[in-house]
Amino acid sequence: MASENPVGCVLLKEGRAKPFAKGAKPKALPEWDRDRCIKCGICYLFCPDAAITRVDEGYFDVTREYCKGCGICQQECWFGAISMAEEV
Amino acid sequence: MTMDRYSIYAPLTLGKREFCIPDANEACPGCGAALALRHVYKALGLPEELKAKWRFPEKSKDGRGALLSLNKGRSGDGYPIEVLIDNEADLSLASLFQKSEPGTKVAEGYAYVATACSSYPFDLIEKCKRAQKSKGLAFVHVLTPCPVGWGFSPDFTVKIGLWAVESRLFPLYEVAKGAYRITVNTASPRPIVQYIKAQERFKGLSESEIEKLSSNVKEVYKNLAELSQRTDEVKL
Repeated sequence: MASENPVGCVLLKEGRAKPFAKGAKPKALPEWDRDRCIKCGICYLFCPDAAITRVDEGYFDVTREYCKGCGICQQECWFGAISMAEEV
Repeated sequence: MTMDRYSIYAPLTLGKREFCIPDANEACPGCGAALALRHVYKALGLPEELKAKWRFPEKSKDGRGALLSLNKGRSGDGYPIEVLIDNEADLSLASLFQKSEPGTKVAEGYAYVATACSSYPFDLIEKCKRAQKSKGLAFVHVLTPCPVGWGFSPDFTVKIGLWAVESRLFPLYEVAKGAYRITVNTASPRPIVQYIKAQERFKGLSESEIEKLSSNVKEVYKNLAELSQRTDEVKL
């Protein structure tokens, strides 16, 4: 019976990420300010979709296809090196 | 074990290999469950065939969260590790503020029981590894904030998890062979009001109810602190 009556905030629709499926455009993408970045990797640690990878010289960058634009990396960055920029 | 034992560059010590999480493409932006699973997979390194059993908690039938039952690696000794991905989808206050699962599992005689949170990835990884090492049944209860269900902005997922632990609402501890140990110390707890006001799902709570809840949380934590006197790790 419990499955017939949705309690509280049980989601009746599937996740909202369908529009942001692989290859589609996310809302906003993180951008790194390389002068502020200390290459600690906290953005890489907290990315739920493993979209952030290490690139040249130990800096980090986002894989455009996997990013959903949630903004956790911007929120968690110790030095405010990340800004979420609308994709053109 | 906790973040403060590692230096600021700790994330670089993580394993490079990323495991494919089925259905992760359907997770909402800022999903705590996807974040927790990523680290669970990193810690355990699953064989291919087991990955298919995972479904996202939003879709589970009873709305209680998803139970991930895993065999212990390839050569395992047969005992499964149970990982409960709890996104608090049932929303009843009684179960919110007094998680019954860890206590039940201890009473059932599990060799290793632990609570973890997606905002403390190193703690989560360490506990998964200890669960893998233990000789007997193992259970890890993971709290994963859900931006859509709880009603907060997706970039706040990690902060909300931190506040849940810091306000002693969801204390992180482990029970190895019946011995309790608190793994993340919250010497000066954060007021619960901050955690509650940040979420839309608690909109209807009155002041007196919040006070009642905070005194309830204090009581539960006091009982836990009395149980967990030892500070060193029990060898598994």
